[in-house]
Amino acid sequence: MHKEVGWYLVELERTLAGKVPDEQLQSLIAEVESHLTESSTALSESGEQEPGLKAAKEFGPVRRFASQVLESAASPSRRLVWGIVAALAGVWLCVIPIWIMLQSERPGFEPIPPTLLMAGVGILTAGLAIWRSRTRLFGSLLAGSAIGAISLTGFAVFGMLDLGEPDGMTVLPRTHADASKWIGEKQKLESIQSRLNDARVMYSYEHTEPLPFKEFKTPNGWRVPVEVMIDKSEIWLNEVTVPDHETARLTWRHGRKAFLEAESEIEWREMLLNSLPAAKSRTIGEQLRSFSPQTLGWSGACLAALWILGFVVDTLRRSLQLRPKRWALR
Amino acid sequence: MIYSVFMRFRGDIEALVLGVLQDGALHGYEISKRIRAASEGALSYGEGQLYPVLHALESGGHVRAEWIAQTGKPSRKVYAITPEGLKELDKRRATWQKFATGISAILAVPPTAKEGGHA
Repeated sequence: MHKEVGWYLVELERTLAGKVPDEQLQSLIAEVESHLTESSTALSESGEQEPGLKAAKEFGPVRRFASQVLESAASPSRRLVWGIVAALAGVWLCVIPIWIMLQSERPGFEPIPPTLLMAGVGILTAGLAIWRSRTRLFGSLLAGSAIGAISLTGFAVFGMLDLGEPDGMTVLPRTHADASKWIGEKQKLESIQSRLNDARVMYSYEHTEPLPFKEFKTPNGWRVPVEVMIDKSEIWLNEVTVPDHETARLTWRHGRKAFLEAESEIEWREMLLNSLPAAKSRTIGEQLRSFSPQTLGWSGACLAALWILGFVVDTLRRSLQLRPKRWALR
Repeated sequence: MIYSVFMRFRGDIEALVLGVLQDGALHGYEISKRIRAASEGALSYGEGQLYPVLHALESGGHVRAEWIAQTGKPSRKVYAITPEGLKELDKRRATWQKFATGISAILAVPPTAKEGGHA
């Protein structure tokens, strides 16, 4: 065998390894070897000085040939999978800029939900895993990450996963009952409420109005989603009207509630800030150290499970040759 | 329309392969040589392009392949046309003849040119 033919075959095998099933690859290599041997022998007999090189040139560049092989090996499932991934990625790429535009133009517009970003990461990682992963390790890691991101998105969207608040937020009272311990003002209200039974006090809520923001930014930059309603109440005591009193009712995502009472929005914002001393000082390192060994163990186990699942999916992908026809090896 | 039909046929190596194989079973290198020789060099392309086409024809049932061992040389994969392949060839031939007839009618030398050029 001419050395150029050998090089060609090695390069071809390297290029197609992992992209077509091993059995098919070996058959293809054998066929190309047969062709190049025949061709170089014929060229040699016709007096060609470098028959191996000429045969390889006439056969065509390795990458072009490999690309054509992959194109011809298209399976119907490959196009379907790519169609789904491409359509999802297209929708996602359309939604994000529109969302950002609306958010910048309308102050009260919801920020992009983390679940949407997570879904995007999942879709793009899945696409990358199908498209470009050459090695088993890389392919498995990408596929595992895609499965993880898409699963987490699903759990979060359907409310099956409570991601909780950032550390430091837990100092806030989570229930109405806890609020009474934390806010002295609540005690005052309760005492008034107790006198309601004597029919000497009228106590009523006039109306409820939402505040024009949906999140609270902590000093260290976290953006905590909250739903805030101001209940304006008027209290009459023996026909003497007490000035309006504002209660900010915070409802955390995932159904957790806290009540802060204050005279104004500015005041309760300050109260909220003061309730976050831990959030002000925590660094990433401190947060990592705060994880319990059990949490770390579970995280490691989940990652390992994802990696194994990714390996299985990657193996399946290779056997199905899930690769877009037009993008092959570009 | 005509242009697209022409372009489609020009790139239709499958038809050329089936045409060459109707004379008997051949291996890839020989098919490539035959196409080049039969077309007197008009149809030449990277020889590697042939194999994806052969594999597609094989999976489509138009050709069947068989490995033949050789002494002192790598084994050869020899392709033979199947009855389905012959039917497919007939279809493509009919398409080509229809197309070629149409083109010939348009590109034929006009009578005025034959008689001594344009008026």
